[in-house]
Amino acid sequence: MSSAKGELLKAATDSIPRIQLPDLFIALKEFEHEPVRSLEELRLKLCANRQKSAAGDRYWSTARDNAIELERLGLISATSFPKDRRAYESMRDNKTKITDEGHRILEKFNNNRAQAYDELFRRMYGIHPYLQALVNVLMRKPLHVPVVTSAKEHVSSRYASANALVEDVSRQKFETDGLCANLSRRMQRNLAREEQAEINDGVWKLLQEWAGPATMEEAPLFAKKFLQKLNDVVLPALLQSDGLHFEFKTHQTLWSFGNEWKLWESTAKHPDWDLRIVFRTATIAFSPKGGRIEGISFDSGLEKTRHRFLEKLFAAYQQLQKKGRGTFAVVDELRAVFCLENACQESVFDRLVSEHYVGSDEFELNMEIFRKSGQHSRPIRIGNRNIGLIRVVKR
Amino acid sequence: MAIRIAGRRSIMQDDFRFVQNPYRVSEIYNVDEPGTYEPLMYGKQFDEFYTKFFLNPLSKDNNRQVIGAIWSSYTANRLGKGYGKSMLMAEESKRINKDFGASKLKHFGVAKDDIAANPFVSGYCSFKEASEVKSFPAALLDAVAFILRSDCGESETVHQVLRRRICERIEAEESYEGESIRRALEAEVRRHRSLALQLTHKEVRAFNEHLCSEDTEQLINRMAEIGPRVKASQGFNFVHIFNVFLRLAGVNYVTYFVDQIENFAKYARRQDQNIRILRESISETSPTRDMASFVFQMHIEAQHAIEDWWDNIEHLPSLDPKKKINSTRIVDLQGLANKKEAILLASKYHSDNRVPRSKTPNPLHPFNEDIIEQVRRSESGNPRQFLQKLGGILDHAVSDNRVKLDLAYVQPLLEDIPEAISAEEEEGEYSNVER
Repeated sequence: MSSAKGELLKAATDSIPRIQLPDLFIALKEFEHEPVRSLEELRLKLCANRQKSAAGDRYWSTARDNAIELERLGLISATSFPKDRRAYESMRDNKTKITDEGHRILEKFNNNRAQAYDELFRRMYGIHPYLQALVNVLMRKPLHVPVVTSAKEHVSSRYASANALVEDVSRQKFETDGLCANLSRRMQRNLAREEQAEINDGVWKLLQEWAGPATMEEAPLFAKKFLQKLNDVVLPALLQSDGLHFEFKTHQTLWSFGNEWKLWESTAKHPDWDLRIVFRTATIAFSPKGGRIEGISFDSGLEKTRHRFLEKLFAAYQQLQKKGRGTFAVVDELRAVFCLENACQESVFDRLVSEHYVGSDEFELNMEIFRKSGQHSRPIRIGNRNIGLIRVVKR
Repeated sequence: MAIRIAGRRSIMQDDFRFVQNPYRVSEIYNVDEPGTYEPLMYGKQFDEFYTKFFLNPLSKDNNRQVIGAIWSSYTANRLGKGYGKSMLMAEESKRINKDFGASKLKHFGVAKDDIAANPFVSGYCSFKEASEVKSFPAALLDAVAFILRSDCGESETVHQVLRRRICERIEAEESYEGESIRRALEAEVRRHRSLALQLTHKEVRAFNEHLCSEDTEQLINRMAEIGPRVKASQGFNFVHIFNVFLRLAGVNYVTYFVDQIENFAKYARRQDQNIRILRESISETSPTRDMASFVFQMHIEAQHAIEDWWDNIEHLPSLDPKKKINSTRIVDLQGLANKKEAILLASKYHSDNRVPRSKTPNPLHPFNEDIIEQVRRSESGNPRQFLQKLGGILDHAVSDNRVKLDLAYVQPLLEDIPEAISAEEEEGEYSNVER
């Protein structure tokens, strides 16, 4: 990408709402029988759906954020929204009204949920530059995101304990060289001089800001918050050449959106990479001049992936075997390899394994139940058992 | 007829469109007046109920006995009250007896020939302090009476149909059918050596005679007149005779559901002796041990009360729901596990109580799905408490002259909602579908 285009993309700012996409439809559904609803009624609806007590003002900000996004999308109209909890008290009865467009998408949701989600994607793509930037990258290539989740593994072995990290930060010191070396290893490429400079600069600013709090907070909690902020330095520095200069939380939110839209998937379990890979699971066609979505094709969706599934699973299993993994493959790794190879959603993989658990004339599946090993492992649920290990045998 | 006060609008009838509040203040099951029954509210456990207690045993040629339990093991409600165990046991037994289980087998996809060859019946009984039913033999004799007087077909009782089937099978002598059946019954009883029955005993002989005659009412009256002491000492003999009677009629499977076992745990004077007799009768005596299943209503308190004798001393099969190995013999009712089940139950109550020919915007009117779900959550999915709460909300609305109900009105009437009840996943309701 040319630097001019990069600068242009960088100039565009955006605010991706910290919401879950189904909540938009939950809120919209509240207008099904009454065209005018208050913020409080939206809040109660969300509480009911989450099966939580609606006591006090629980989920007030979720109700507000969803209402704001619905308004930006032109699906409801409203006068004003509360900035904080105190303002909510006086504004909880503020009215919002569904628009004709809102009615239309609600009807679509009732008749064909998949189409409603596609429509939601089109609308959000139209108003969110960050989303446009991410989609443009993903349609060209998978995105490698070296999220820093462990100070010890991803920065320096000196930071095996949170106390060591806290002590360094309080003295405005940090193993930036170790961080860059690890990033280079994880990205499997050398960091550009500008990238290193931006990281150095960002870390320096971070230390100025966080040296004080380091002496006041509990070490483990502080370390967690610091790593979160460190990602806000690292990710924009490494991904800005792709026009992705936004903070870590925005990345996370967009990953979850793609997952819900079934348009892209992300995994941090691929054995070839010590980072998170984000990859497309559908093809989006743009108008010749770009900017407008002409079509979405789920060309590696459930049906396509189901065809000769066990053969594909065996190929993924063999990839793991070549890396010297055990006879029984860990589900997380097998899932990651399979999904990246076949550009499919993890949920598609889980469903198809469940469908094919008896094997076939050609392939036999042996499964072991899941024994909790790490907090991020996700087994496959088959019947009433959690499967953690799988062996695929060609008869 | 209910009163109407002049000049006062009846919100219940005019706005809510109910003849009366559909929900009782105390929703406790009564076998004679069961009220509204919606089996779909049991969700997955309904199919489990049939699979474990009927379909699996009937899939075997012999050795059909199941000793199992219907549980409600929710730990916050140690007495397991209000989960619909009694209603499930009794109402499904009535439906089974209506056609010897034929329509149920058909529902589960059993072939026509197999349905005809495998008639079965089901009985329900309960330990009742007020009726002096304090021992297993007395309770099970009630279950026999329950089966015999159950409606069968258009206008007959199970007793009459069984008797007719026996007449056909033994080619009973015309005008002397009762005597022919009695002779056949006694001959069949004598074939089972483990049945140490004194057929000349006054009560046994009277029971046999009434069982073989055609008047069901007299038979039931006779059984009701048997005193508690005779019931306790001879009760199982009547059960064994009835099982032989079933066999003669070509019915080779029966399930006995035993309710309110906590009353046994609380009031029976000699629990040890009672449980020993139970074991001998159900596990060691033929034909009962091959053709009769016994399913006990259980909850945590009842289990604690009987477990020492049950498991450790008499070696009866464990009824502990926490042990995975027992899961093929146990159905653990989860209450209203999701919104759909709650909606089904409320809709059924509403349709049974609507003002005739009235029109409502939806079956839940004046509630909506969100209110139903919030009430279900607030009552941890307990069906009885859920129904009672809905009734309370309607009464409140009438008292407040409130014709429109929404979450904002209902919320203050609900107790604080437990955060961690077991609810089936419903997160897919608004999520995108798989592509």
